Amino acid sequence: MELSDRNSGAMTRDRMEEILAAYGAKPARWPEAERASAQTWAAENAADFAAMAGEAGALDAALAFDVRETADDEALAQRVLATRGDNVVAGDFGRRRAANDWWRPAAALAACAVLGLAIGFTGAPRNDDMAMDLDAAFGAAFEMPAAGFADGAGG
Amino acid sequence: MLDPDAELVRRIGEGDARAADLLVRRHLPRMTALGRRMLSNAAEAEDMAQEVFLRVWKMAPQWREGEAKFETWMHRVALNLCYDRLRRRREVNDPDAGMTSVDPAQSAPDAILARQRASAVRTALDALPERQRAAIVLCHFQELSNIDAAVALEVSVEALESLLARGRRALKAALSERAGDLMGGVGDGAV
Repeated sequence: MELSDRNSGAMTRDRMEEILAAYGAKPARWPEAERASAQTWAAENAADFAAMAGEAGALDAALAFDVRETADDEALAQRVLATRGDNVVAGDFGRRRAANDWWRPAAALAACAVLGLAIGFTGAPRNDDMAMDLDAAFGAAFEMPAAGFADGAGG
Repeated sequence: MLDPDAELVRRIGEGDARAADLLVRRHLPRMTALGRRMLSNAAEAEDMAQEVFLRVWKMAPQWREGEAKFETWMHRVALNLCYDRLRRRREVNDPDAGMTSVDPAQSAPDAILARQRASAVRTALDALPERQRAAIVLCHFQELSNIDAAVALEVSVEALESLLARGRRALKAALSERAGDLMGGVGDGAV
């Protein structure tokens, strides 16, 4: 199968087919690194592209029938914000008073939990909640507390 | 890499209530939409979304801007929570867990047709293996980039494309019975 050299930006028919099969016919969903070359190829091979993209576009249109907007986002948003732990009054957006340093104890506890789990997060069992969220892809994105937390930090 | 949420997350970590409000407004609809498509249950989707933000509040003080985008991490958390719920359903063998209630507000003929079409698509999506469904939800509905979706799914981009292609083939096959209604005469691409 002829494949494009993605680094060189050259698009091929086979790669165009792969893109359509995976991402559909809407260019906004195509891989960013290949979007420009794919659009160029589509424009230069319009008839061929139209034949290739028909089914993908039809499926995209069918999927568009699946609209799942949340009926009452405002009420849910208030419930979500109330879980922050500061002094939130329902319906009091814009006038909320944040507790002073409310987050420091929570952050310290969270840091202990993160470290306690992160020590073994690589290859940790999938039912370990935080470990699932903090694997190699994201572990570096969260600051680890100082070494003094290491012993007895637990989870 | 520019992370549009980095500043908000930093402020949330410092206790900024307004920043929390803005982040919720920006991402809660997307989290609930993801939950609805993965779980096919509005109430469970809302519970899942709340759990995502519980994690956000807990982790924001530690977030360090860098290679990963915060929204990608949120999607990872949301997917893992969805997988947990789906696994629990299987364990308790609850056949009704995924039933989505019908919107009683829609009764006009056009609305009924729209609901039927939506139902057909949802049934087809629900029938997909979880990983294929997740791939399509992330790329098609959530419109994450292929790289961000691959990170959220913990797979390579090549593996993501395989999941997407297989998922889309399965959807096309499942919806083919209603091709004239759902997919016929739509056009020849979207360039």
